[in-house]
Amino acid sequence: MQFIEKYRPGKIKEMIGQEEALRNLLKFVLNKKNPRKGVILHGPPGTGKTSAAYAIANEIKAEIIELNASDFRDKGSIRNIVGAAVKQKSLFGQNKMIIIDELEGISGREDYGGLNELIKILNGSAYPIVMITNQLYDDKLKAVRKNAELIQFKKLNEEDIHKILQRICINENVFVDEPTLRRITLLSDGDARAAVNDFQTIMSGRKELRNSDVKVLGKREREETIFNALNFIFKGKSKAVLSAFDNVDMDKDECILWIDENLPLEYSGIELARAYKALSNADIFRKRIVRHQYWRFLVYINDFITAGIAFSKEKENDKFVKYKKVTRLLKMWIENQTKKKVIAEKLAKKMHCSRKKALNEMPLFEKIYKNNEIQSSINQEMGLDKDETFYLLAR
Amino acid sequence: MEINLNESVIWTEKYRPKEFSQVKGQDEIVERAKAFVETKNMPHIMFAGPAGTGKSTLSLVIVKKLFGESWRSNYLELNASDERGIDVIRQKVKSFARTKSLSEFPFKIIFLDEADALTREAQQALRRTMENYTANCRFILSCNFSSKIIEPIQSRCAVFRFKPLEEKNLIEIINEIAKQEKLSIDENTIKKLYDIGEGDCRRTINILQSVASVKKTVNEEAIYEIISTTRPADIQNILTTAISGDFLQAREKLLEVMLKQSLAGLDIIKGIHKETWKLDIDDRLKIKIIEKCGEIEFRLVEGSDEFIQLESFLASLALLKPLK
Repeated sequence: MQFIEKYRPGKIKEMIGQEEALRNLLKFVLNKKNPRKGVILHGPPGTGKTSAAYAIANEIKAEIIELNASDFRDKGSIRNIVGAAVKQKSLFGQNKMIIIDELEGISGREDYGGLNELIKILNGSAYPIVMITNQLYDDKLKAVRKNAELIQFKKLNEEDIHKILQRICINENVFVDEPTLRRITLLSDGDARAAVNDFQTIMSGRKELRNSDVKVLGKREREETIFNALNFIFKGKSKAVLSAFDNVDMDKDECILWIDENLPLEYSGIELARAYKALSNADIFRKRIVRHQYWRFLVYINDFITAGIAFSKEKENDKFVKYKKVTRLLKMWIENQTKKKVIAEKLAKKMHCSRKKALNEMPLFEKIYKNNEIQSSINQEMGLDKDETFYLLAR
Repeated sequence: MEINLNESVIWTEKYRPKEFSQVKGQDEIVERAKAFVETKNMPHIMFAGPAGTGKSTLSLVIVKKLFGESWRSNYLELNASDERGIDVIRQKVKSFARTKSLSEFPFKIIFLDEADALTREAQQALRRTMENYTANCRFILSCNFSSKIIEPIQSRCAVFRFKPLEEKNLIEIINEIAKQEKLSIDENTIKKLYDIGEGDCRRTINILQSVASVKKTVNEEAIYEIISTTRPADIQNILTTAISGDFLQAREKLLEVMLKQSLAGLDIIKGIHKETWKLDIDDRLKIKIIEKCGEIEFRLVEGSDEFIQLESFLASLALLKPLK
């Protein structure tokens, strides 16, 4: 049996994490005075949105009427199923809760009119309508967003995922060691469904698991994969690191930047110097590829950024380090987005020289510009627009 | 001084020579150029020499004398290091060369600056382009190092070597500008300007104008204040932080300096080289640092990411013994 179904929480007390979201949802459904009857649970996949809806329904003993992406959700269906439900009192005098899962899946065409009908019902309903989506900011949902409360489900943190997995271990009577559990946790990126699925896949019916590389798992296309590769390279020292980037969906240039950003968080002193030497070598081969159009050099680049980095350290370690996204490129991009380059181009034309030379002369030009008497003449001569003049005035 | 509405307020342009007689320091070349104009005949030409010595200027004078009012439609200025490859250049030449010259002079002129930035392959392609459009166009190739231009091209051009401007040339030029702009500047300062400008007239005039724009008097002190590119204090900061072992801080400071002052890696390494000698550390240590400097400067040229190379340098500094 699939673990994700077996271990789906059915009650509030079975849920791990999302305390605040649960509180807010409960408050919402209990508040009869709220004119708005619709709420949107939103956030990344596997964070407990659907489970929360069920758990709360269970708590208030509500009958559930559910529609999700696999059902028709055009005008007719909505009116018939949901519309009827919100008006009719339940056979047993119970509470009701309407759950509409995968809200963003209502298509423009096949479910023509579905969203509009939904909005009409939202405000007239007697019972709470709980909508669930991964993509709150989809254009289609603009009108719905305005007519509903919003409750955010954030990515689960590592501890929560860890607890979830441990609970399964206990229940299933299996043993998995810490490093393996950690790797599965990291790979899941705050997605409990992913973690539980991966866990089940990797167990494959075994009762015990130690030191597993978890490489057998197919990657999900998310950031955490690069984090996993980094973890592998920074912590380990086996030859296996050579394939660290094989499954990472990024070209080597990007990988190099990620290493560059996080290297000093893991290494210091002589290890850092050695590792940077390796990175520097990789960079040189990069230029060589361009210059000589000799693509075999990629092999060396990979060697340097995997083994070169990994072997720079004295021994393996296990300390926890929070990796960072690459910020340098963003900073440089922001800097380049300033008008500087455009102005340099205009300057180059004026001075009959290359853009690079004009960029070199820019600091001098910026000072020349400070002369109030000639500013407007320069603006005219060079055809500087408002943004560009602001930029120069601010330097 | 009359105000010409078409005149630039940027001095490098305002005082750019418009007559042959105004071009300083390249007398023999100017004589040849005059002859081209008089005989209305010109081969392909190559101007070789340091930056800011008059190559673009002389081309412009030639062109204006040859074509008069219609010079703009008969002249194409290209820069090999700005264009993205020889194909773009060929395209531009092709569309330009399509129409014939509308003047007495039977050829249009194409000025290709920094031709030595082209790879050998690109230059081969350029040679073919020159041959293809020879009926319509004459090329003026401009470069810093003629040795970087392949022989077949050199053999198709009349080669003119521009000399670095002499001090006396520059004194003449600056004095003229000072008179027109009502600046007071003494001869010593001009000599200083000459040193700092390294014979590059464009740069020297830019320095002059930038100082004059911000300071009341143009003297040596004012010049140094305005044109210090890498601020010594910043470089020292980076160096000492790196040597102390605080890599993260040193790196942050490096990024800040590079971005805010828009400095290239080479500027930084030059600054580091200079400041190393002033550090309060053991002499042998200084030599070790200079060794690393040299290696990194080489790698800066050989590699593609300046920042990574500089980081490698900073990381290796932490391995040296601490400051006195």
